[in-house]
Amino acid sequence: MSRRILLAAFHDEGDLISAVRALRSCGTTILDVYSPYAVHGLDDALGWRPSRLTWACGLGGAAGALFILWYQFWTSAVDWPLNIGGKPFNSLPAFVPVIFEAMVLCGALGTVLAFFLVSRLRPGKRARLIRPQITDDRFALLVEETDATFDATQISALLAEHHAEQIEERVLGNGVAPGVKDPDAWPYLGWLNFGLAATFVAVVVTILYTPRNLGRPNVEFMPTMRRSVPLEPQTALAGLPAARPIAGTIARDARPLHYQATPEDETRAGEQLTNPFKTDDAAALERGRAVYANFCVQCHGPNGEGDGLVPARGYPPPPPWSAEKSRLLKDGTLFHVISYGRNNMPAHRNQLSQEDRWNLVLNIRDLQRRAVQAAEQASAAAKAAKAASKNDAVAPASPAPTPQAPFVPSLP
Amino acid sequence: MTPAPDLQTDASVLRRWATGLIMTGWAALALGAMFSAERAWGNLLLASVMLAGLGVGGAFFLAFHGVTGARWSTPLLPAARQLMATLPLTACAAGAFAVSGLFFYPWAHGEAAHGATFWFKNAWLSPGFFVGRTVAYAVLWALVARWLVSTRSPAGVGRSAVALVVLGVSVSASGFDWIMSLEPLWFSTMFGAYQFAGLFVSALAALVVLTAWLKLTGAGCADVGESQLHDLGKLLFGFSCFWMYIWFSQYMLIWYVNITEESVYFIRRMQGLWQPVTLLSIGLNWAIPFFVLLPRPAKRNWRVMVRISLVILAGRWLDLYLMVLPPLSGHDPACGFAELGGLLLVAGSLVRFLARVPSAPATTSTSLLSEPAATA
Repeated sequence: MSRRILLAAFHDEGDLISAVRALRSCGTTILDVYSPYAVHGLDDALGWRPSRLTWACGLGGAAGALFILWYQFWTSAVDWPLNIGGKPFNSLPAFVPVIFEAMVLCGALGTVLAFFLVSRLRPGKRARLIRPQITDDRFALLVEETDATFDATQISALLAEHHAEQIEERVLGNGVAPGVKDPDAWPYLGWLNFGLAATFVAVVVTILYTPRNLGRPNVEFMPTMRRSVPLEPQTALAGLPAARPIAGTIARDARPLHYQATPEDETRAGEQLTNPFKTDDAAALERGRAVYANFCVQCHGPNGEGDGLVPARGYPPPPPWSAEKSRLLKDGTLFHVISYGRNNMPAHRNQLSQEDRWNLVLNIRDLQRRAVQAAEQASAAAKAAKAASKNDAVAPASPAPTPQAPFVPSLP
Repeated sequence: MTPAPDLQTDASVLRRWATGLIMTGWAALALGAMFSAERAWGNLLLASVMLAGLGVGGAFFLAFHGVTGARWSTPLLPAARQLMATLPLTACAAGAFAVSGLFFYPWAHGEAAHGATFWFKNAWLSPGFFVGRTVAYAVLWALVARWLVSTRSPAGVGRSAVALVVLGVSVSASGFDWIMSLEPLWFSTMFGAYQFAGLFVSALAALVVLTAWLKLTGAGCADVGESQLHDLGKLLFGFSCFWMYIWFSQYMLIWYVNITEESVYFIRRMQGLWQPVTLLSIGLNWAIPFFVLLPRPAKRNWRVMVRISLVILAGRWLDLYLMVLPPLSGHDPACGFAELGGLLLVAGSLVRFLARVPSAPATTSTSLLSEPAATA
């Protein structure tokens, strides 16, 4: 079945609107109107119900806002909390600008996508124009000749009254869109669009399905963003008074130690110095543990056995503190070793206050005590097990000696 | 909307109401002044700044119309002119109350006058200079208003552009002078824009109410149809969001940086009982208008538009209340005779203004839009 349509072109949008009003008032069905741009008031004149595209915009915006709100909460409060300026991890004011932007972006994208879907625009689609000029400076009005009562002459006269130019009749085959391909259009535009879309899909698929090697560093654009240039601080001050203390003065609260980093002074310190903190000082021990967890555990290991992460990767291991030789070291000697270093161990006198160093000595003694206790328990258990197996008695198996769980507090 | 059958009776009833409201307001203010002169003065300043702001907003509307060469808003011009016609009186009132603030502004008396601040601020906030500027604002606004309607045709691009510059600078500066100087050690470069946002959204709301009233009484704006109302609704929606945007921009920067001398402003307004007041202001100025005006039919409905405009006008009062009163009323929000009086004064003045309108026939306007006026 073929369809007959009447096509009229207009030069002025006011004529178009008045023609639409006139046609509708005499009951004619308007098939469609083509325009190079949005004409205000045309929707009303055509009597079309308002576009539902606003719903796509609203839903897109709401979805984007809610998603990004959740995403920011999840990243900054759940998955990877970072302390930024002392603000709470879950800080709504900090999320608002991103919510706003995401809402605008998703609202716009939702509108555009919905528009593409509804109008079936896709890459490679060629426009079929009812008249080439409607993309430029003409408006076109289509009236379908519905039945036998349709009076083409009368309608044409009405259209001509409203300054319609070029009124013509067309016959369309079944299912053929009422238009022709634009002869002036660049013929490869569709292929270009298709190629761009295909490239985009290929890139996305490649990214999604490329196996990732997390052990290999990524390509770095702008490496200074990640690795800052290691400038030496205060080099500009070299030789200036701020760089070194004035001769003959010491800093406020400074308590100088009259020792050198020599084995002789190590022994001398052991004879001269005693720990100002008592063994039962719980707070000092607590502090010692915290310092240990931050400065020592990397090499000495959680229990002081010299099995930390650094020796495990090949650095010469420090001797275990449970060894006889270590246990016999005096407190003062330990203090000297912490302060000035020994063999592979670096000095820590610039990192740790004297109090912290003495607290650390307290903790080392505590670890040694625990190690000795654990060893005694183990040997006692072994003896008991040997006795039990000798007597064939069904003695309850004593629990395997469990070394004290490493206590790793963080610095307060 | 059908024209009211007996306008004269209606207007006289309104006049009586307005007189009653205003008299009660003054009485309450006098009573409030006996308890706290500072708060009574603060409420007078608030009321006069709000009313003058509506007039300045009308001038802004006319100037925008002229500078953009707009055609859609032509039917609304009579209403905007009426709104602007209040300027000589309201601007003078605002100026007078600001000058009388020399007894109350902390920088003008007491030891705070010699507080630690920098020389430019000390010079800027010297009493003589302050009075000079205040007089200048009032005179400039009245002159600009006169200038914008001096000829029969709407002001052209050039005149409107100059008026916009003058209004923009003077509105920002008057905000700094009259309101921000209540807390002289605090400062925010966003404050001028914040002033304008609140001023213009409230003026648009007043324009909606006034247009509806003119149409109802048949005194003018007969050509304002649903399309114009729709456009006005979009502006109202947009500037409500703009107010929120500016409010939040000021808030977020201060919240993020958290410098003591800056954050004191919001700490004062976000703690204790002030917090619900701040939230209520955000609700009235943005949240309620946003969700009510979002659907298209709401913006084409006179009833909805007038009601949401009244909500925004209430929000504007609360917004100014939150700017002016916290430094004057101390730790908790005060709500007593002074506040009641100020509120009644604003309401009474608005009603009095509406009552005055029908008796003064609006200037005839020829609509450039041939669209028939569709009334709800």
